[in-house]
Amino acid sequence: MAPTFTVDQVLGLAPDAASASAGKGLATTRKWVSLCKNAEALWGECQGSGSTPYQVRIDLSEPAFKCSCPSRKFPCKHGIGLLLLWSGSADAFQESAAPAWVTEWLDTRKARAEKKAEQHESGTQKQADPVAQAKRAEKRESRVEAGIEELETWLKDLVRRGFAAAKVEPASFWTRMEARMVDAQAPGLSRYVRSLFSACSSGEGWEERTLREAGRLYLLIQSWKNQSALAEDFREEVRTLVGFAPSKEVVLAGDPVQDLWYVWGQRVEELEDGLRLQRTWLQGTKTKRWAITLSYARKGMPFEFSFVPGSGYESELVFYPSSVPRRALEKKRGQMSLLSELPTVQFFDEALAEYASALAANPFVEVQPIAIRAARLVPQGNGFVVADSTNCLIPLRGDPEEYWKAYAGTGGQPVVLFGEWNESTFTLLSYNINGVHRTVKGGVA
Amino acid sequence: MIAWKELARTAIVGTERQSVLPSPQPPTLGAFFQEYKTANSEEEVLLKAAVMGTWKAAALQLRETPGLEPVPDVEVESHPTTKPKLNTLLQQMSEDAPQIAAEVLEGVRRAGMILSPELLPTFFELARRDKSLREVVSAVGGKRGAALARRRSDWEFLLGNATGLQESAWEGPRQERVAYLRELRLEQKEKARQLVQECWKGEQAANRRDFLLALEVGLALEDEAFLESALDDKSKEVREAAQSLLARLPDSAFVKRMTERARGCLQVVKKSGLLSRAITALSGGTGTSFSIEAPSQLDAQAKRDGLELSAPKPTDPAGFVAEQRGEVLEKIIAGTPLNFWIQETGLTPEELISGSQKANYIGRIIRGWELAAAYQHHDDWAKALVLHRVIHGTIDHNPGGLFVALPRQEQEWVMERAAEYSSQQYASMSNLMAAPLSLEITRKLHALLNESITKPKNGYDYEGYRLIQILCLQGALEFYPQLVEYAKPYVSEPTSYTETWNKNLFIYELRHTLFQEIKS
Repeated sequence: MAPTFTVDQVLGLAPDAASASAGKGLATTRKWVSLCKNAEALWGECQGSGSTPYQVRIDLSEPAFKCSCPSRKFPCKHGIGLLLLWSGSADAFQESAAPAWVTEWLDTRKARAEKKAEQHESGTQKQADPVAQAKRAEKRESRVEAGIEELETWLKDLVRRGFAAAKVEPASFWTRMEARMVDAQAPGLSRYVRSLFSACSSGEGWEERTLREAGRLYLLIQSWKNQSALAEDFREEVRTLVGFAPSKEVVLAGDPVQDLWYVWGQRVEELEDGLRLQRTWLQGTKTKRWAITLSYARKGMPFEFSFVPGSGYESELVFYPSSVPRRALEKKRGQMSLLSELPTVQFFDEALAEYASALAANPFVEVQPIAIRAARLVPQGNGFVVADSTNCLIPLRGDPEEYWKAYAGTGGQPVVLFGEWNESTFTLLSYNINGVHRTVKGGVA
Repeated sequence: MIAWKELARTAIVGTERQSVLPSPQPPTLGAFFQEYKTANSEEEVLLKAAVMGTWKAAALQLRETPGLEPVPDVEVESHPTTKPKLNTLLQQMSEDAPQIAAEVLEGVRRAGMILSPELLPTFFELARRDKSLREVVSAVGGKRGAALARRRSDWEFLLGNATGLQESAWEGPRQERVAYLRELRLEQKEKARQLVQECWKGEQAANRRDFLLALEVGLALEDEAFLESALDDKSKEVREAAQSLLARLPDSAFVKRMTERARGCLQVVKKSGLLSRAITALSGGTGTSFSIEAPSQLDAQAKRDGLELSAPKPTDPAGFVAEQRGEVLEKIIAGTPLNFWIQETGLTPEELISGSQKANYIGRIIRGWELAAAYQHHDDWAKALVLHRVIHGTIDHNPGGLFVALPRQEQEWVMERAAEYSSQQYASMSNLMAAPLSLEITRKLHALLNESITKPKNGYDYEGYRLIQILCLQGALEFYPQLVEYAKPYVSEPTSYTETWNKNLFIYELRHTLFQEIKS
C-alpha cells in the first residue's frame, strides 16, 4: 500500500512559506488534468499558465519530487500541491500503469542510488593527491593551533576582567573573535564563541549561562590541547567540534546500523546567508539508538535527506565517530512504514539518567532527545510544564501559542511526547495521540 | 549548588577583583579539584565552570511536585468532531480565507458537529479578534472548547456568560471599561447602570458619553430615570447620547413629548366627498393627503430634549433658520414611534415615503424615519426606506445597518426589487448579505459581471473585480461549477482578471469543498 502523509508532513517538505502557500492553492482537482498512482509513485499533469501542462511526479519512498516546471524551488509548488491532494483526496488518484516520463525518472533514480551504493562499497571515489592533502592538513593544524592559543588568552582575559565588563562590550568584541576562529579554520570554535555571546547578552540568569558556556569552551580548548591522551572516539568528537568533521565519504565507509528508524521530530533553522539547517531526530526501534541527521540547503533548494516525521524507515545509518555517536548519515533507504509501538521511556528520570551517561562519555553533548509516554502538558503561569506519570515536572521552552494547540489536542491527557532537553528546559517537537503523530511548530521562541 | 553560585559571582566581577572563594563541593568534585592543579585564578574559574557545569547537568534529579493539578476529566462530547480531511480544510481556511469562517462554522454547527480539539486555539484566536464569530465558535467548541476557555482569561468570552468578565477591566482605559460595561449589561443590567451612576460625577464628558451609550445593551424602561437626568448634563455630547437612547424606549416620557411635537408637524386631509373618493380610487390614490412641516416654534421643554431654534445668523438669516428647523424636524421624527405616522394617516410606510417627496424637508424627514427604524427595529419601515434609497440611487448613503438588520427573507424581497435599478447598488447590497447568497441573486450578480467585463472599459475595472469577489466569497455554492466554467478563459490566458479570478476562485473552491465535506 502506498504511504500516506498528513498535511503537516507535506507542508514540512516545502522549501519556504511561499511554496507551501502556493502548493495549497494547487491542492485542488480543478488544477489537474490527470492524477494517477501506483504502489511506488504518484504523478499528475498540472495546468499552468502555458499551453502544456506540467508533468509532476513523486517517488513515494522518500518522498522525492520532479516537475517539468521552470521553478528553481525544490520541491516546487506543483509537487507540494500533488502530495497535499494525495493526503486529502487519495480517491481522486487513478490506479494506473506509469507512463514513460514517470518510469524513466524512477529508473534513473534507482540506477543513481545503486551506483552510489556501489561506490561506497568499493571505495572507488576519486582520491585526492595524498601528499598535497597531507601538506594542506598540516598547514591547517598549525593555523588552528594558533587560533586556539589566541582564543584561550581571550577567554582567560574575559574571566579576569569579569562577565559584567564583557556584557557592556559592543557586539564587535564577540564577532571579531568569531571571525578570527573562521580565519583560523576552526569554524566549530566560532560557534562556541557565538553561544557565549548569546548567553552573555541574554536576560535573567545570564551570569550562570555565561559561566556554563565559558566552561564548555575552556573544556574544548583543553581537550584539543590534550588530544593525544584522549580515547580515539572522543578525540574524533573533539576534532569535529573544532571544525575537523570527517568527510561524508569517510563516514559512509563506516559500519552501517540497520534498523527500522522512527522519525520523532524535525526542526528547520534559518542560518546566515540564506542557508537552512534541517535537524531530524530518529530512533531505532530495535537498537533504541538515537540518531540525528543534519541537512543543509540553500533557500528554495531541497534538503539532502528527506524524512517525514511520524514515519518509520527501514534504513541503514552510519554514525560520525564519537564517544556518544548520534550524528548520522543515511546510507541506504528501504521501505517506509508506519509503527504501531513507539520506543519511549516512562519517567523523566530514565531520560535524564541516559543524558547523564551521555555526558559522562562526552561532556559536549548539549541536547538529550526524550520520547516519553504518559506525559502531559500542564499550563502554569504564562507557559507550560510537562509532567510525567509521577508528577515530576520539567519546564517547557518555546511559543506558548503552539503549546496551546498541543494542549487542546491532548486535552491535558497523558500522551506520548517528544522533544529536546537542554539541561534546563524542554522543547516539544511532536506528540502522538492514539497513534497519530502531530508536529509542534516553531519549537523555539 | 552553593559552589556554582559562588563561582558565578567571581566570574561576574572578574578574577582581578575577586579571587575564587573556597566553597563546599560534593566529595567527588572536591577530590578532583585537589588533584587537578591550575596555574592561575582564571584557569581555576574556567576549569571549575567546565566540570561543575557538566556535573550539575548530569546530576539533575526531579522530584514529584506535590499539589499538581490532577489530569482533567476526559470530556465526553455529545456531538461528533470534524474529521481529519475537514480539519485540514478548516485549518487552511483559517490561514488563507478567514473571511468565510462565519459561513463555514455555521455550516459545521448546522451539521451537528463540533471542531476537532487541535483546531480550537486557532479559531478561538480568530474569534478573539472578530467578535462576530464568537457565538458560532463557542457553539462548535464543544466541551473541550469550554474547558480550554476556562483555562485562559482571553478566551473566556467563549463561555457565553459573564464569567469572562474581569472586574479589573473597570479600572483600565476607557475602551476596556466600555467593553466591560457592555458585557456586564448582558448579565447584570442594574449593576452596570449603578457602576456608571456611581462614577458619573468624576468622569470626563467623553467617558460619560461612552458609558451612557454602553447602556444600549439591554436598554429598558428601568434606565429611563437615569437617562432623563443625563438630559441635563452640561456636555452636549452626553445630552445627545441620552436623547438617542431615550428615543429607543417607546414608552418613555421623551418619546411621548416627541410624539406630541410630531403631531404638531403633521397635517392630514382625508377626502370625504363621493366624487373625490371615486376619482382617487380610479387613479390608484389613497384618499388621504398629508404634509409634514418643520416647527417654527418650540415648547418650553424642547431645549432639554435637544431641540433648539436660535436667533438667525445675520449673514444668511433664511438659510440658517431653514437648516435649524430641518434639524429639529429630523430629531422629532427620529424620536417618534413609526406607528404614529401609520395610525394618524392610515397610510403604509411606502405611501408615507412617496407622499412626502414634495415636502420641504424631504431629506430630513427620510433621515428621521431611518433613525427611527433603526432605533425601533421596524422591519416594514426599514424595507420601505431601503427601497426608497435604491430607487433614488442613494443606497450607498444609507446606514447599511437598516438593510443588514432585516430578516433574510425581507432582504431578498428588497433585492428582488433592487434588481431593476443600479447594478452598483445591487452589488453593494448583496455584499452586505450573509453568505451564501440565493441562487437567484448569484445569477443576477453573474449577469452583471458578464456585462461589466465584456464591455470595453477605460481604466480600472473596480466593478468587475468586486463582482468576482462577491460571487466567489458569497455566491450560492451550487453555482460554483458554472462560475468555474465561465472563468476558464480568463484563467488560462493571462488577462487583467486572471489574478483576481485565481485568488477568489480558490476561496470559492475552498467553500465548495468545505461544504461538500461538511455534508459528507
